[in-house]
Amino acid sequence: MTEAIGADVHVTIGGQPAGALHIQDVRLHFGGVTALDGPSFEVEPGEICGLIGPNGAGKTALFNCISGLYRPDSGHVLLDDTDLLARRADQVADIGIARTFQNLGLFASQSVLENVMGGAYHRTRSGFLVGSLGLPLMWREERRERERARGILDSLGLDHLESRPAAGLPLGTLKRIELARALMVRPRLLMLDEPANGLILEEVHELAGLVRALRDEHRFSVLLIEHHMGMVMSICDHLVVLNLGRKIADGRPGEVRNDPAVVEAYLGGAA
Amino acid sequence: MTTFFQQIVDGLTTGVIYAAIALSLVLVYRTSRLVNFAQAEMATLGGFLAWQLSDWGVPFPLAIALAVAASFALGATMERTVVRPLHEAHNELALFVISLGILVVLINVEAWIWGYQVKAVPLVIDGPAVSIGSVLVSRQKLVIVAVAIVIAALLFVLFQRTRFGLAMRAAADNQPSARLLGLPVNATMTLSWGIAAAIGTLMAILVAPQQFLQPGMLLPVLLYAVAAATLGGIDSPVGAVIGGLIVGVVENLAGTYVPGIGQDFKSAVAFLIIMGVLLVRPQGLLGSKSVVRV
Amino acid sequence: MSAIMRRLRQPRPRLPIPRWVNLVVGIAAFAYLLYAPLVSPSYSNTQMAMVCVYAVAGLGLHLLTGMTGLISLGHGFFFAVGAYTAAILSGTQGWPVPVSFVVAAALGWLLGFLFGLPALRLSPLALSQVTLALALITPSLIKRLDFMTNGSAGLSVDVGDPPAWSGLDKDQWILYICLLIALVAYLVTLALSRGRTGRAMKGLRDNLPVATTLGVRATTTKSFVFATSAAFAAVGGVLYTLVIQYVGADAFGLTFAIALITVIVVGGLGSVPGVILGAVFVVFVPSWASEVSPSASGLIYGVALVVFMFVLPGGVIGVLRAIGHPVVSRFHARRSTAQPPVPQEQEAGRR
Repeated sequence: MTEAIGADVHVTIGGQPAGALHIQDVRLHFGGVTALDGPSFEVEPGEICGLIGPNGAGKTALFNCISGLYRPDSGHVLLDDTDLLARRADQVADIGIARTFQNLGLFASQSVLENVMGGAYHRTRSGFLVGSLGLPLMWREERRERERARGILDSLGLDHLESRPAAGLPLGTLKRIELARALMVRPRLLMLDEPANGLILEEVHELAGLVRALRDEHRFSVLLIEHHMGMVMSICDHLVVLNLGRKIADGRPGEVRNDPAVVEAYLGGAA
Repeated sequence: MTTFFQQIVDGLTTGVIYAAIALSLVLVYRTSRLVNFAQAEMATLGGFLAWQLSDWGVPFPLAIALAVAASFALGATMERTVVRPLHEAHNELALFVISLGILVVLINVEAWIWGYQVKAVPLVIDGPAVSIGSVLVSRQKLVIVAVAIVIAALLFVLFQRTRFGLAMRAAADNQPSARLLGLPVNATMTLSWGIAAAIGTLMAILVAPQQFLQPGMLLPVLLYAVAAATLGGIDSPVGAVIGGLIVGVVENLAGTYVPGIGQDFKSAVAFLIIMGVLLVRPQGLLGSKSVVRV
Repeated sequence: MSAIMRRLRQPRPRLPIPRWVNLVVGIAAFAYLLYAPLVSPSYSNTQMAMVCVYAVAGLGLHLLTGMTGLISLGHGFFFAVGAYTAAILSGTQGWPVPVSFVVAAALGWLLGFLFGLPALRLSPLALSQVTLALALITPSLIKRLDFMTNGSAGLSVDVGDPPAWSGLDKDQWILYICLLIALVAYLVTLALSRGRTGRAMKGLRDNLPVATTLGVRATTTKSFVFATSAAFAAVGGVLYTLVIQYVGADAFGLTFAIALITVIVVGGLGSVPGVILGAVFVVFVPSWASEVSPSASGLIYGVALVVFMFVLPGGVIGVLRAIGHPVVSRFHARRSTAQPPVPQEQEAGRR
C-alpha cells in the first residue's frame, strides 16, 4: 500500500515496531447527537494516512477515542494486537501513541524544554518518593531525557528557545514544539490534528516535508487530520474520508479525490 | 409527635434562610462560574448598614430599602471592576482567591467600624408566636417565609416572563452564543450580582434579631447555603430553594434525633451532604451535567 | 485593562541567575540563620520560629495549589492533626519530639490520602466547597473529641528543656528545630517541584486531558499531592505546638486556612522561594498593622489576597524578578552572545 516501505515490513524506532491501527465499527453518541456512526478502516505500519472530511465529521472525536479521552459506545480500536479500548487514557502513551491537538495542547506556563520533556513522562519512573528525596535515579533520568529533548529541539531548529515559556511564542513555533513533544514519546503511531491550521503557505510546505522526512527517518505510522488539501495530497499514502460520523471513502489519494460521494460531501449539493 | 412536627417547621423556617443565600450563590455562579464565599459576608454588611441607618434615626422600613439598594450597587460594582476581567481571562483560581480576600476584608472592615458588640436590630413585626395546630412559629419567621416566597415569585417572573430573564438564562447556558445573538450579556452579569447581593442583605436584616448582628454573623449559614446549592444543583435557582429547605429540615432533625450529632455538631451534617451529593450526583438534584470538551 | 495593569500582571520567567550566585547567597543565608538565634532576643526567635511554621505548611499548600492548581481550605484540619499529635504524644505522654514528627507526618499523609480519595474525584470548584466544609467543622470536631483534646480549654504543652550539652535557651533550641525542619521541607519541595513529578503536577494544572495523554494518571497523582501536602501541614502543626506550647480548638479553622493561602499568594503562586517570603509576610506584617487597629491585622490578609491576585499575580517574587531582570540580562549580555529575538504573536494552547 505504501510507497516508502512494504506493508509487511516491520520497521523499528527504539526497538518498537511501527504500529498498525485497526478501527472497526466505532460508535459514539453525546446525548442524542451521533458523533461517530461506525467507521472502520486500517492504517498500515509506517504509512501516512490522511483523515479528512468537513467540520463536524467526527475526525477529532475519533482521535479522542484512540487516545482514550472518549469512550466509544461500541466498536474496536486496536494498535497491532493491543486493545486500546481496554486501556485508560494515561496508558496509551506507553503503548506508543502520541498526538497533537487541534487548538494546541502545550502547557502555557512551562518552558519549551519542560514541555518537550513531558513526552518522556511515560517511560521515566521516579515518582513521589524518589522525587521528594532527590534520589540519584531522578537526576539520572532527568539528565538522560533532557539530552534527548535537546536533541529533538535541535533537529527541529528550536534549540535556542528551550528556556522560553511556551506562552507568547508564534503559532508556527508552538506547533513545532508540540510536534517535538510527540516525537519525544517515541511513537509507533503519531496522530496530528490539523497541524497546518493557521500556518502560512510557506510554513505548510515546510511542515509537509518535515512530517514525511520524520516518518522516513523514524518509521512510525502517521494519522493526519488536515483541511489543507495540498498538504494532504502531497504526503498521504492513504486517505479516509468521514462525513457526519460515517466513512464515505477510503483509498489512495488520487482515487478518493474523484470519488463522487466525497465531492458531494465537500461541496454539499451545490455541485 | 408534636416535637417532630415542631422540628420540621423549625427546619423549614431555617431552611428558607439557607435557600435565600443559596439562591444568591447560584445567581452569581451562573454568570461568573464562581461560588462566591464572600456572599454571606456581603449580606452581613448590608445588615450593618440597615442597623446604622436606623440608629441614625432613619425610619426602619426606609433603612431596609436603602441598605438593600446599597448592597445592589456594591454587588454590581464588584462584578464590573474585579470579577469581570478575571472571568474573561478564565482565571478561576484567581477569582476564587479574590472572593476569599473580599470575605476577609469585609469581616475586618465591619469589625473596625462597628466592633464585635452585638447590635440590636429591631424585629419588623412583634407579638406572640402564632400557633398552627400544636406547632409554634414566631411572627418574624412567618415574615421571613413570606418575603422568601415573594422573592422566589419575583425571580420566577423575571426569569420566565421577561426578555431580560431570557437573556439571563441564555447567558448562563452559553455565554459566547448569547453574545453572538446580541443579547445584553454584560448587563445580565452585573444585574445578577446586584440581585444576589440585594437578596442576601434583605435576609440578613430579617434574621439579624435572632442570629445576633456582628461581623461574621452569616458565616455558619454560608456552610449550609453551600450545602443547599450543592444539593439543589449549583446552577439551578429552583434547586437552591428546594435544597435549602431540605438542608434546613435534615439538619434540624439530625441535631435532635441522631445520637452523636447534637446541637453543637450539626455542621457535620452539612459536610456530609456536600461530600455525599458531589460523589453520588455531582450535578445535584436539578443542576445541569457538565460536559468535558477537549 | 489599562497598560499599567497589563505591565504589572505580566508573568515574569525565572531569572537566569548563575548557579554560583545562588549557592553563595544560599550559604550566606544559612550561616546567618545558624548564628542569628544566638544573639536575638527571645520574642524575635519565637517570631522566626513562626515563620518556619507557616513556611512548612505553606510549602505543602504550594504543591497542591501553586503547582497542581487545586484549592484547599481544609489544611487547618491536617495542621491541627499534627499540632494535637505533638501535644498528646510529646506533651501528655512525654514521648520524644522526633516520634511526634514521624507520627504526625504519617498520620497527616494517611488522612490526606483518605480524604482525597473521594474529594479529588471532584472538580477543583467542588473541592473548594468540600474543603470549606472541612475548615468550618474542624473546630467543632476538636471540641467533640474532648476526651483527647480537652475541648475548648485546650492543652498546655511542655516538651521539656533543651538537652544540657547544647547549652541553649529553650527559644533558641526550638528555633533550631524549626529551621532544620523548614530546611528539609524546602529541599524536598524544591526537588518535587523541579523534576518529573513537578512537570506532572503543572501539567494537570495547565491542561489535564493533555497531561493524561502523556501518561499522567490524574487521580493517583492528585491523591499523592494532596496527601503529601497534608503531611507538610501536619509537620507544620507539630512545630506550632513546640513554639506556642498550647493548642486550642479555635486556632485551626477558616482563618488559619486563609492565612495559609495568603502565604503562597503573597510570595508568588507557584514559586518555592516565594513561600518563604509569604511566611515572613504573614508573621510580621499583621503584627505591625495591629498597632494601628486590632482589625487592621486581619484586614491586611484580605487586602493582600485581593491586591496580589488582581494586580500582582507574580507576587513579591514577580516584583523582584521585574526589578532584577535588567541587571541580570546586562550581566549575561556581556558574557555571552545575545539570543535571537522571537516575535510575540500567539498565546500557547490553553483551555
